[in-house]
Amino acid sequence: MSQFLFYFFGAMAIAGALAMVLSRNPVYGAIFLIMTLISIAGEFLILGSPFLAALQVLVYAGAIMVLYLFVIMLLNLGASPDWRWWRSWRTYVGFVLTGIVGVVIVASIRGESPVLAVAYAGENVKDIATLLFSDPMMLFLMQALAVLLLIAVIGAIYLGRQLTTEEEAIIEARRAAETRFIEPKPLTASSETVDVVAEKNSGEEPSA
Amino acid sequence: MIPTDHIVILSTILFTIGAAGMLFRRNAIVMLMSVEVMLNAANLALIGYARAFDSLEGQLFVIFIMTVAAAEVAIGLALFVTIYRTKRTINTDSVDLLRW
Repeated sequence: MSQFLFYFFGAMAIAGALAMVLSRNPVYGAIFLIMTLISIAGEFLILGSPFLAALQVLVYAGAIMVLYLFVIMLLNLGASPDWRWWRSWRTYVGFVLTGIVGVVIVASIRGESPVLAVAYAGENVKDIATLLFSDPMMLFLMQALAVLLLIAVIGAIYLGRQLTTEEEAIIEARRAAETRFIEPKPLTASSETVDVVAEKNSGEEPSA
Repeated sequence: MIPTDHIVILSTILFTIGAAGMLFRRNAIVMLMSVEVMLNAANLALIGYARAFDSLEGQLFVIFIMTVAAAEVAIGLALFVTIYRTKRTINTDSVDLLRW
């Protein structure tokens, strides 16, 4: 039964990841990614780490994905305008390169498979907590992680702050410079279309 | 009993999909989500090996990776919001100020 569930969740995770990468709309991508993350939480449960499965659902599928969806909807992105994954050459280069990586990894696994059939035993949460809070090294790592999270929060707040008038002025100036630089483009494009239209007309006139 | 090989192969497939998405998508948020898939593939491999060797250190490192991922997402999304504020797009092809 657990074997069947393992393969079922694995297929779900792979399907969700593929759909995430190939979906044009980032909102759908985020929802497919939630499917993948919850499937991986199921794998964790089957593989004998219920604490991490709970953490996966709470932290990843809960907090992180809500943050993603929030930002996607805040930026009002919508579907990529003209993105068809099978038309872009990048798709094929990416598949070839990552395929090579996959083959290398699988080959290195096949070379030496350290399968020790040891049944998992013990109380998961208690064991992890004991390991985490009894070893001084691990305790130090936990504190380092706390500092890391604090730094991330401060950085995010700093990046998301209200811009000062000076910064607004700089951004406005840069945007104005870019539009001035881009402006000739529509002109040439329109002149080209005029030429095309003129050719069409000249081509059609004799026939008409 | 699920063979450890299969766990690691599943993790490899997920990692490969994430790397492919990172390489050929141009939407910065989708690229960050691909990174999440890659991190989760690493977590899955760690859990698989922790089970194979009957040790808890692998599970500890999964906790560390989850924390790092949370910090990375907070900073990354804040960066994207800032980029969007100045450029009105988060397509990585049009964010080329630092290109050679």
